[in-house]
Amino acid sequence: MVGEKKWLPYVLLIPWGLGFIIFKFYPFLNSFYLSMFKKTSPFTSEFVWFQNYARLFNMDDYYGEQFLNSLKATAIYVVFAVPLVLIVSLLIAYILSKKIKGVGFFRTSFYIPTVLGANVAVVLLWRELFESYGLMNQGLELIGLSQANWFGTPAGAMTTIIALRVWQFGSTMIIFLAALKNVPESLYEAATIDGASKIKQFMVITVPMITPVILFNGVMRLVETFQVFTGPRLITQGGPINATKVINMLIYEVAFQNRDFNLGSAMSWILFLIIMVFTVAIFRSSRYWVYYSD
Amino acid sequence: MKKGLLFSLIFILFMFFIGCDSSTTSFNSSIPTISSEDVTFSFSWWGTTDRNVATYQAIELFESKYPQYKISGDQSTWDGYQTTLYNRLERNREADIFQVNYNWLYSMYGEYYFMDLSELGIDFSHYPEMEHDPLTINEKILGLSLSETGYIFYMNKAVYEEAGITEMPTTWDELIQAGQTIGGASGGSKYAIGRLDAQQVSILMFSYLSQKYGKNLISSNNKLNFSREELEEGFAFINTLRSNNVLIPNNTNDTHTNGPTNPNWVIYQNYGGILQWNTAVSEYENELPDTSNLVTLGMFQQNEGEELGMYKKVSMALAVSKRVENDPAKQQAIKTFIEFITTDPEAIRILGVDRGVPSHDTAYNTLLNSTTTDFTSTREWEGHVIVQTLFNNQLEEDINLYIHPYYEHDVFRRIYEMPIEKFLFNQDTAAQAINEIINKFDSTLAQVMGG
Repeated sequence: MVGEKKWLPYVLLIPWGLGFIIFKFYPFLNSFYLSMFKKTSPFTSEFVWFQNYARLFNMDDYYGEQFLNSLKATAIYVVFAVPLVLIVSLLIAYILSKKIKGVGFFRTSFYIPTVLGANVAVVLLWRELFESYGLMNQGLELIGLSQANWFGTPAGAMTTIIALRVWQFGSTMIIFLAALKNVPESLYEAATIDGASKIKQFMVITVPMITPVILFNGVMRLVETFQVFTGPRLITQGGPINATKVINMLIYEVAFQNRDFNLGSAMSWILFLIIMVFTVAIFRSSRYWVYYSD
Repeated sequence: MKKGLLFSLIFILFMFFIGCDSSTTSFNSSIPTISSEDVTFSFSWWGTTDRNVATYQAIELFESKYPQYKISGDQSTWDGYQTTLYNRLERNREADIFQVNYNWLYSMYGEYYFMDLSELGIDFSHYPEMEHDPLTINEKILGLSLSETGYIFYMNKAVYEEAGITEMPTTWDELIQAGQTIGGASGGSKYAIGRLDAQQVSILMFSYLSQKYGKNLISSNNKLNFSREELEEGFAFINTLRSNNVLIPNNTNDTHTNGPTNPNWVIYQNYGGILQWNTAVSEYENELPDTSNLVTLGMFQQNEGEELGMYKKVSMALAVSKRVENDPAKQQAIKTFIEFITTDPEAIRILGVDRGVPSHDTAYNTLLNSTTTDFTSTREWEGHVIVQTLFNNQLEEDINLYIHPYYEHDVFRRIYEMPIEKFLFNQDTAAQAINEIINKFDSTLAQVMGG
């Protein structure tokens, strides 16, 4: 009976495997191959080794400057968005882990933005909220403040797209919530007997006990945040003055609008390497700050 | 049960492969079969509702007069049209005839993808002399000019009248005086023009410098034609406009976005003017509560009576897919269609000025002499007259301000627009902006031109 079933998992894996090979693995390898060429006409390309990569680090080249600018914009976005998502989701998860009235309703409410995702409709809604006559500015006027120029200044535009990312903290929160439920109650009881305050308990019991989940959420959000596209593309179009033109927007512009898939592929590979370096660094550092109770 | 599951899976995979196999799913299989004498060809364009409606009506009329021909129309908005077209060209899936921007002939490898229109047998003598020079690459005419366009000023006279100005300024000095008057009367909240984006300020500055120095932005050997000192003068002039209530002093001061829906233009009417292609003014005009307040002004001049500073280009053109080169029946059908929309009086009147004032002499004269609709009173027509008058006047003075085919190239345009945008947001000083432009202008132009 068991022997007869051996082939079944492999058969069931075939659709996923095909999808993975066709839509992920092959394009992944092919993009590296493409990054070594330069288009000389619509039908001919020239093998140029790493010339496309060199262009991206040459500040005299238009794309070198653009690439550096996009790296800066992406770095600002990641530096603010990732910690904020983690902090907000952990705090909300902590509150929702307590026995409070209507907790189910709040959990659902906080999770809804994530279910909706950063799709076009949500992004457009976000744009309306922060628009000159949007709810945000109406609210500011209501409390006697002047309108804010959300999309018109580099700082305002970046704040808006970071806020959109932070707003979608639901899935991070749910994972934190599950982790918080697994922290043994006995630790809190002992700490209470020893006179530790709630804040002290949170800092010395809760946070250390859930560090594996903080690591997981941190890495996942980092990878995801580096690849942001929809929000900046639809809300700010990368402006003003390219302040929100994150790297994925530049890749899209180069590859799909200017039809330079070679240079676009080189940019994608550099983005991949950056994400990999950060991910490896976080994993390497985890031995110093992640606590595995088992 | 297990066998059933296995067979189901194999069936799904089989169907998946069948679905992926392009050889078994013909692209053309959905096209209804027609008799050998009939020809169906596709036509794609971008446009607003007015243009779409007019185009479909013209197609319907064409099909009724030439029942052997059928046109598959493919309308689109401006946004995304260029990307989609480029993508289709690379996959050999473009329409048989399609609308293009003049600079795309160069940036999209037009020689490889577009058919030489002289092979279609079109009579180009009906077009103004040299009209098709910019659309000709290596002696191949790759685009059929529909109309020409230039940037001109349109003013909201309500803003001026509110400040007691009854006569519209025509020189830059008068414009600055008007700005001071409007600013004074409104406590600084209203402007003679208002907010312009980097693209508009670029052409404003280049027009101003061209009036002063009698030369095009880009030289005949594809280099920046203005010196550092001349650019300094241009930026100083923009600063003068910003400090005299002509333009807003800092683009961050306006909490609204650029464009025709800006409430300072539409609702508050704080802005007294715009600078726009004469073929696209309707998007600003239609937003105004009272369109009769819009005045077609033209280009401000250094001195009274001068007619200078007009850059122009082909507004849009029609290109034919290179695929059609091997299909004589389609060539004939497309030629018939092009001749129809440029010579048939009914079709010409239907299409009107939705693609600008037509360049073809028959179409032009038909609209000019139309007794049913007065096309000459449209903003497009008024603007067209100004553009052509100023441009031709410049030619007489040996100044050719025809827009370089790479001026609007997606990469190249950022070389001058981005420093100007930073300047408008007070992020860069004039000196920094000029340095940026000078440092990258020639090299980037050479790069995008394939040099």
